[in-house]
Amino acid sequence: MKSLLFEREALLSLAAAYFSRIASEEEFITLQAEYRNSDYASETLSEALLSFPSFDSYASFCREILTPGIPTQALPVESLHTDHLGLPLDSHQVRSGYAGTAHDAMSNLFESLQITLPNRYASQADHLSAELELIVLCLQLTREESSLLDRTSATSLASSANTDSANGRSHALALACNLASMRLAWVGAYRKRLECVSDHLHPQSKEAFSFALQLLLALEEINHIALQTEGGNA
Amino acid sequence: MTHPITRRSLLRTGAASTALIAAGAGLSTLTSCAAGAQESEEGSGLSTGEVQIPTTCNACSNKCGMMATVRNGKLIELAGIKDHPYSKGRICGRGHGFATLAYSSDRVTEPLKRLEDNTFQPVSWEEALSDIGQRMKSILAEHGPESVSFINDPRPSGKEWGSRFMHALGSNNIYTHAASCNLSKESGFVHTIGASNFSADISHAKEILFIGRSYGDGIRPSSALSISAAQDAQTKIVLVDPRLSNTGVFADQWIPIKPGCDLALLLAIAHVLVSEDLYNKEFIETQTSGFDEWQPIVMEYTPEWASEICDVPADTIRTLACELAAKAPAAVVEPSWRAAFGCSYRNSTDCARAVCLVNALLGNWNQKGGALITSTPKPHVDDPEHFPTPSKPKVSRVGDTMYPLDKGGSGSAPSVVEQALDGKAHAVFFYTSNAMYGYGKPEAWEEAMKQVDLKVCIDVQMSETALQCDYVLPECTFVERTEVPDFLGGKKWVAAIRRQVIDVVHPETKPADEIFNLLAQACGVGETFTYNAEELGRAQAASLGVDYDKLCEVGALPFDGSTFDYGQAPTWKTPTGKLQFKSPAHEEAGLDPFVRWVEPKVMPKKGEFRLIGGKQGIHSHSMTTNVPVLNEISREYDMERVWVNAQTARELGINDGDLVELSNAAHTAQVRARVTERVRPDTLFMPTHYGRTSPYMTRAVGLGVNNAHFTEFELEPGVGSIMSQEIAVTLKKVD
Repeated sequence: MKSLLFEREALLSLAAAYFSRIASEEEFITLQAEYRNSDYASETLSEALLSFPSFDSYASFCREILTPGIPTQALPVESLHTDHLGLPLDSHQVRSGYAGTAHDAMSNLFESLQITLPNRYASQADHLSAELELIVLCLQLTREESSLLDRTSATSLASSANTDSANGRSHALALACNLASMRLAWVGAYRKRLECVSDHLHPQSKEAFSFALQLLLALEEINHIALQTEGGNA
Repeated sequence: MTHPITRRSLLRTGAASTALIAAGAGLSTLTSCAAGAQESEEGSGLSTGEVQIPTTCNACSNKCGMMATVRNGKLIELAGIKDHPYSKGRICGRGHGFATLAYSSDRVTEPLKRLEDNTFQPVSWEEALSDIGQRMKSILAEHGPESVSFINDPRPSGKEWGSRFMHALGSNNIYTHAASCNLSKESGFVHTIGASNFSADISHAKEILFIGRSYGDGIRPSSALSISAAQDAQTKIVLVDPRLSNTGVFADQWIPIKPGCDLALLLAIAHVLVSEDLYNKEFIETQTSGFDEWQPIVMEYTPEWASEICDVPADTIRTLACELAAKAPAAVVEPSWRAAFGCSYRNSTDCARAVCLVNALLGNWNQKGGALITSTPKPHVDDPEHFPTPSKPKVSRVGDTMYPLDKGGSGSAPSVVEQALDGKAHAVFFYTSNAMYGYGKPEAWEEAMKQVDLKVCIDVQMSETALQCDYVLPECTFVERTEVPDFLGGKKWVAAIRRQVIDVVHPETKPADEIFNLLAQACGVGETFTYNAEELGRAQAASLGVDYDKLCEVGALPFDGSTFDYGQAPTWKTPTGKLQFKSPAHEEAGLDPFVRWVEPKVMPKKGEFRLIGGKQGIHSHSMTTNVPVLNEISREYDMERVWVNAQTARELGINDGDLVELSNAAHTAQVRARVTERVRPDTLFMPTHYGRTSPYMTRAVGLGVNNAHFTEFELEPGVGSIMSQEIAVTLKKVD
C-alpha cells in the first residue's frame, strides 16, 4: 500500500488540483506539463489520464459541476455524499448537507496539525482536494526525511515505515495510508453522482468531465487497495 | 527523486504542522474524531461544548422566537421561546426544518454573474460590486432614480437596509410581496378602520367566523394554541372555506362556500343584522361614518339573494347572523390573511371592507371577544452623527398612481412588470423575494424582466427570480446572521431579536446589512451606510427603553408602552376619524366608495372548475420547498397533489393518485389527484408551494404545479393585487 501511494503521488496531487477549481489557464497548463513530465505518470496510469482536457472545457466543467448552487453541481465534499454515520450514499439518495461528520473529522484534524485551509474551504474541510493535499503532504514529508537519510526509492520508503514505527516519517506515511482508506471511501458514491448529471452537461464540459471521472476511478482503486491492505488501521 | 508537481498546495503549513505530523498527532486525532461523533449522538441535555442562543425563525413572516442549541459550533436543536407572542414556547414543523437550510447543498455560496449563455460564473464580491456600481451610475444618470425598484419579502434587516439603499439612490420604489399575499386585505382595512390589520380576541370570543384562514395550515403556534383553547372553552368556531382545512379539527361548523363569493355572504349577514335590528346602534352612531348612505344598499342583499351566489343556504346565513348578534360583542369575523381575500379576487378589497363592517355592526371593536386594534412600537433613532439616515425622496412610488389605494403601504410589486414593459424600469433589486415564481403570472415577469437593464438578487437559494438576474449576491441563512430587533405590537409590547447562532458556513456569504452597505458604497451613495445591524439594533432598542443586552440573552422581552384597554374605542386613523362605511379614498380614485357585491372576474362555466390555493403546515410559499427535510416530507406524503372532490372524481373516472390534467387558455399541466370529500365538487385545491421551475432547486424542481401559470396577468383595480384565484380550468384524467 505504501509503495502504491508513492507511485500514485502525482495522480493524488493532480486530482487535488483538478477538483480545486483552478481559475488560471496558466496554472492549469503548468499543472498539465508537470504532471506529464513526472516520474510516475507514464509508468502507472492509463492513457486516458495522459490526455488532458482543454482549459475551456475545464472552465466550463468548473462552472457546471464545481460551483455551489448550480443545477448540475456535484461538489467533491465528503459530507454531501455520506450519511450522518459517514457511510457513502447511493447515487439516488438525497444528498446530505455541508458540515457533516466528515467535515468535523477533517476540520479537527487540520486544526490539530495546525494546518490552515483557505477561507473558501472553511465549510469544506472534507473537500476532496483538501483530503488529497493532506495525503500528498504526508508523502512529501516522508520523502523529504528519507532523502536526508539517502533512502530514495519508493520501495525502501515503504519498507522503512514498517520497520521504524517510532520515526516521524512512518507516522506521516501511516497517516497518509489511513487517510487513503478512511477518507476516500466516498469517492465511488461521488463518481456515481457525477454520472447522474452527465446527460445534462454542456457539450464543452464533457471532455473535462470525462477526465474527472477517470481521476475518480483511479482514486477509487487507491482506496480499494488501501482498504484491503490497511483495513483502515494502518 | 523530485516532487512530481511543484504547484502551490492549498494547505498553508508551517514547521509546526510538519513536526506535529511527524509526532503522530494526525493519527490520534483521526481516530478520536470518529469516536467523538458517536459519543455526541448518544449524549443528551446541555453539556460541554453546547451553548444556547436565542434567535427568530425565518421560515415565514411570523418570525417566531426560538432558542437554538449549538454543539461544537453546529446547530443541533431548536425550541420555542415562551415570552415570544407568536411562538409561546413552541415552533412549527417548517421552523424546525427550515433552519437546516444552513447546511443545504443547494445554497448559493459565492456571488454569481450571469453570462450571455444564461449560465452563471462565480465572481468575487469586488468584481460583482464594481460592475453593479458602474451600471447603476449609468442608469441613474440616464434614466433617473425613478427607474430603480426594490422588491422584498420583508425581513428585519433587509427591509431596513433595502429601504435606506433606495432612499439613498433617490427612489421610493419599494415594494413587498404583499400583492401576492395580503395587500387587498390590508388596503380594505386601511380604508375602513384606518389600520392595516386587527386581531380577533380568540381567548374571550364566544363565536368566531373564519373566512378562508386556517390556523392549522398557515401556522403561527400561538394561533394554534389559542384556537385549541377556544375549542376547550366551548367557543363556537365556524369555518367558511371551499375546502375543509386542517383547522377543521377545531371547528363546530364547516360552510363550504363557493370560492370568490365570501363578499356575498358577508353582505347578507350585514343585511340580517340591519334588517332585523340586531346591530349595535350606539357603536354605529358614535364610531362610524357613512352608515346611513350604505344602509339602503345593504338592504338589497338578502340571504336568499346571497344563497344563489355563494351556495350557502339562506337559513344558514340567517342563523349565523343571529348567533353572532346574540353573542356580540364577544363574536367576531376573524381578519384572515391571504387565502380568501388577501389577494385572490377582483372583489377582495371589498370583501376585507365588509369584514370590518360586519364587526362594526356587531359593535365588537376593542371589546372582549371582539376585534382588537392595538398599537405597534416604532423605534426612533435620532442620532445623525452615529446613524446618518438618507432622507426620504419627495417623489411618489411608481405604480401608486395606477393603484392609489395603497399609498404608503406595501406597494404593488407586480406594477414593476407594467413599468418594465413600458420601458420605465431599468434596474430592479430583489431581496429574499421570489417574485418571478408567485407575484402573478411568471411568464409575464420573465418577459418584463428582459426589458430591465440590471437585475440583482440577494438570496440564500437560486430561486426562479435569481435565475433571471444578472447578479446573485449570496446571503447567509438566518441562523448565521444577527438582525435588527423586531418590536411587536399587541395588547402587550414585546421586543424580539434574531441573533447569529452559528458561524457563517460559507465564508463568501454575508448578512443583508453588510451587502447593502457594500452596494451603497459601490453605487456612490455609501456615506450614510456606516453601521451594522447590531449597532443600529442597540440604538433602536434604547429608543424604546429596551435592554438590548438582556434581549440578546433571552430572545424575547416584554416592555412597557402598549396603551390598549378593553372597552376603549380605537382611535380611527381614517380621513373621517371614524370607522368608514363610505371610503373617501375610493371616491377620489373613481371607485365605488361603498361596499357592494362585485362578481369575481372569472366565473367557471359548465365543465370548468375554480382552482384555489392555500398553504400547507410545513411550507411557506416557495421558499421552503427545496429544504431537504421538508421536501422529503412533501414527497413522502404526496403533498403536491391537487384536491378533487370524490363525487367529481367518480364522474370523471379519477381515482386517488391518478395523474390528471388541468388546463385553461393560459396553461396546461399535469399532477396527481388527491380524491377527498374535503373540497367542493366545483372546486379544485392546489397547495401553493410546488411547481418549481428553477433547475437550481434540485430537490423541488418538477414536483407539483404552480397555480400562477393559470392566471392572466391582471391586477386588482385600485390596489394592484395579483388576483391569484381568478382561475377556471378543465380537469381530466390522463390515460
